[in-house]
Amino acid sequence: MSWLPPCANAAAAPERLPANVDRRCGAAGRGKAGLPSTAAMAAASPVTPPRRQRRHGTAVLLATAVFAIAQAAAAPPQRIASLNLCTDSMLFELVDDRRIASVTTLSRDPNLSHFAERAAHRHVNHGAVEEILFTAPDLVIGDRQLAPQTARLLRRLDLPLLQFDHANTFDEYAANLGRLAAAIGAEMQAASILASLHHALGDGPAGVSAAAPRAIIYQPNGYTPGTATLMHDILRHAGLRDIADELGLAFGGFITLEQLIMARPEILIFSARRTSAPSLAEQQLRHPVLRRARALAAPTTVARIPEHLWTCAGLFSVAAIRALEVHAP
Amino acid sequence: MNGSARLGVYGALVLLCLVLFVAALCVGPVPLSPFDLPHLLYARDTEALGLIIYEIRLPRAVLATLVGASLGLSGAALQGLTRNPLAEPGIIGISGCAALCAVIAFYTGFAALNIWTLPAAGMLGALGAVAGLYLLAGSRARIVTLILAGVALNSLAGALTTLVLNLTPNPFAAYEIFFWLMGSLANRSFDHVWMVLPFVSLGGVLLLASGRGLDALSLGDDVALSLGVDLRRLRAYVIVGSALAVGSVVAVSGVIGFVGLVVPHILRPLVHHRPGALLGISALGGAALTLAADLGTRFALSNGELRLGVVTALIGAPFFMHLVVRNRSPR
Repeated sequence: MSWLPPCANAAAAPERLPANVDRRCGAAGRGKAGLPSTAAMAAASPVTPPRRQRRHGTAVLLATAVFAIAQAAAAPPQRIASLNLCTDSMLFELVDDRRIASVTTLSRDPNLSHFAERAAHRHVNHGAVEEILFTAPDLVIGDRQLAPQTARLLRRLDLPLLQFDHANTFDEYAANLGRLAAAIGAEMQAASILASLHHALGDGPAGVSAAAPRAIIYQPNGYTPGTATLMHDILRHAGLRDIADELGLAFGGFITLEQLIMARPEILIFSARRTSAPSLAEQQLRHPVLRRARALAAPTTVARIPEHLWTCAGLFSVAAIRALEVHAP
Repeated sequence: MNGSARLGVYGALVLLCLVLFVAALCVGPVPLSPFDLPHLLYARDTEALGLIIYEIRLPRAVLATLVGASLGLSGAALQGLTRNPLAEPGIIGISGCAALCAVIAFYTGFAALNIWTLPAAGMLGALGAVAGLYLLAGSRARIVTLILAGVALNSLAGALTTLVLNLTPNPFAAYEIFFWLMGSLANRSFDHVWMVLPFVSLGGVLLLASGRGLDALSLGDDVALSLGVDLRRLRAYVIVGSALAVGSVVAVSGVIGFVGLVVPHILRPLVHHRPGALLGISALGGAALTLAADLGTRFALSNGELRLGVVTALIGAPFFMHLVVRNRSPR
């Protein structure tokens, strides 16, 4: 397992490592947060047993060492830092705030993050490794798309890193959550979340009927997420036909107002933001043609889904499905 | 230049504008035939295509016409007033300062107060630019001094525009810098047309009214004075007219460069270098160039559009270089 504390490595070449890493690694081995501790580490270390134990011979020494290593392997990381909004979100779902070393600054944005209030009381990072080191985590989690130089630097510093593929469906989210839970010893919480999710989703989308209303998600600048995205999965679960499908958008793309009008959507879905700053990007969503389009022969309904419900997948995303379901037959 | 020749130039330019205007209504993601236009304009409440023509392409074409006419007219008038072939709202910093003030009004939310706030901010910026030019270069600046002052103003306005956008809390700001610095008419609506129409009309009247004065001025200050031209009033007409027309259009379209430079230069020989006669046809020529450039933005890329200012710069910058080379050679 790639995230396992590399104390063995640290012990192998301790001289070359900076002091703070050494300390952090000690914390990882003992499973305690932020212990200052060369002293603590020396006391726990299997490598430097107290002198009086010597006479019991190698057997005892070996037994102590094996026990210590087994304990290190069994104790899950206690302080976790996250480098991605969506891994932030999973972390908030799974663990207490005190186990969160830091989350991304995006998590404090009430528009994007479902956990903005909790994030307000945690350290935040902007993806810089020094910010991560400052909060002394024993596990770092992030997206697969994490900048390679960041991953390389974390490896050099012997900080265990666990990367996740971005979850574009509830299934992928469930897999990610399970994997993170196993790594940090939060299996119980994950099981309970996934049970609730399963209860809410049933056995997945039954296949969208041809009679289902045609919907399109229209975001600032005319961006429409594609069929390989969480938003599409949410539409499917809500029983709506996604126009992105007809337009052949897999990962999303920009749809001009003209293309939007020609697509004749029955449901026009916007992301609702809790705070708003003037922008040309959002001005496009207030173009008079959209108001007029709703009066055309087949009237268009407008639905507004709070952006933080579907930026990242989570149990909370079920609320987006519920809000859209009312438009399905 | 006799009346019929002048009428011929006007007629040709009006025709060109009409053709380009119709093309602007027909070209887009959904192409259509010009023969369907009358029917579709009428059917805007029942057909999606009619709605597109009426609410998206028509305001865009009208705006391109207004923007181009303002820039062409203002360029011709400024060149006449300063007797400087390089005076152009974009080059001497009027457009840049107008964009800066519009950006401040837009992103602070002031522009949402009422529809006049945004064009008012643009006009204020344009007037501020003229004041800045006078402070930097003086009222009787040589060509080089005026251009240098313009470069300085432009750099400052561009930097401040970027700074203001970087400071705004909206996540799209970095992308929107392009709109303000390079201009675009995409997704504009009739709201924007009504926003600028009164100011472009008033500014246009002031600029056109300065024609006789500019003709006299081309013979020298003393001759102009002896012909009874009130120089202070003439200057006020050109400056206020430019500020009204250019300031307001920049507030809704961003900075679109080179139109006011290229158009008067191409048309000048046709009116035998008479600055007064150049005004009207420069307005028409500016409209035609901007309509054509805006059509060009729609052909360029498969994903999204080119910025309008990019197209006009692609046409205008080589032209500007040509002027530089021509000025370099000994006379």
